[in-house]
Amino acid sequence: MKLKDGFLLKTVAGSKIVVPIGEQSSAFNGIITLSGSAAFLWEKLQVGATEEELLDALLTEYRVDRDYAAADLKRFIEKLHTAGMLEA
Amino acid sequence: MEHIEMQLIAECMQDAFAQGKTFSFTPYGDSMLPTIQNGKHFVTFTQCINPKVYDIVLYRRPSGMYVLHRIVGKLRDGFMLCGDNENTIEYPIYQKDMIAKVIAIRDENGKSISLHCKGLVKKLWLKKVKLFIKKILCS
Repeated sequence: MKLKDGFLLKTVAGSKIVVPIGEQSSAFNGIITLSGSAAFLWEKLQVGATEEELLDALLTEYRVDRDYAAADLKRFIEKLHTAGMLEA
Repeated sequence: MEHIEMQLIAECMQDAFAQGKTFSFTPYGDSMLPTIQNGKHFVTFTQCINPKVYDIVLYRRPSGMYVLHRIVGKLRDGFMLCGDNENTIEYPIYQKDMIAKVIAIRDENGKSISLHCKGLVKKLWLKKVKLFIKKILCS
């Protein structure tokens, strides 16, 4: 899985935000605020990663139950899919 | 809807332009009516290279305020800018303070809006610009 081109990840006053640019800014009018873990996943997805790789990275970075992390990750990926942010 | 600081938008624009991409957002304000409607029109910007008279540009005033107005003239010391819905011409504005140039405007339904000034508005500007130049020359 990889994020489509045209999203800018920025840190503003300690918060991570995603700003659509270029053609993407025509599709997404606004700015997305990410939680710390979502921003962590976002960075991995910018270069591309499988769901399993993302889960492993989450478990390495955060002290969290595997099932809990897997469920959260699934929801996050579904959201990105629904929003059309992931490459086909 | 949450309003976003213009400083942040300007930073994002610079990042987008550095990647060779455009940047779009919905600006707020009445100064560019009827061309750009307050919070209704979605405006696309590109880097402001070689600005010309009648271009709509986003520029930064020395106070730090960001303004979206149209270039209505150019003199030796800089550009003259004015909102389509305003009477006061700002001069001189330098190219270095122009952050972005409007390349497209769309309404809520995605319909493209002309960037060009309407006939009557244009005539009023030309009058304003002439008066302004006369004032400068006489001072």
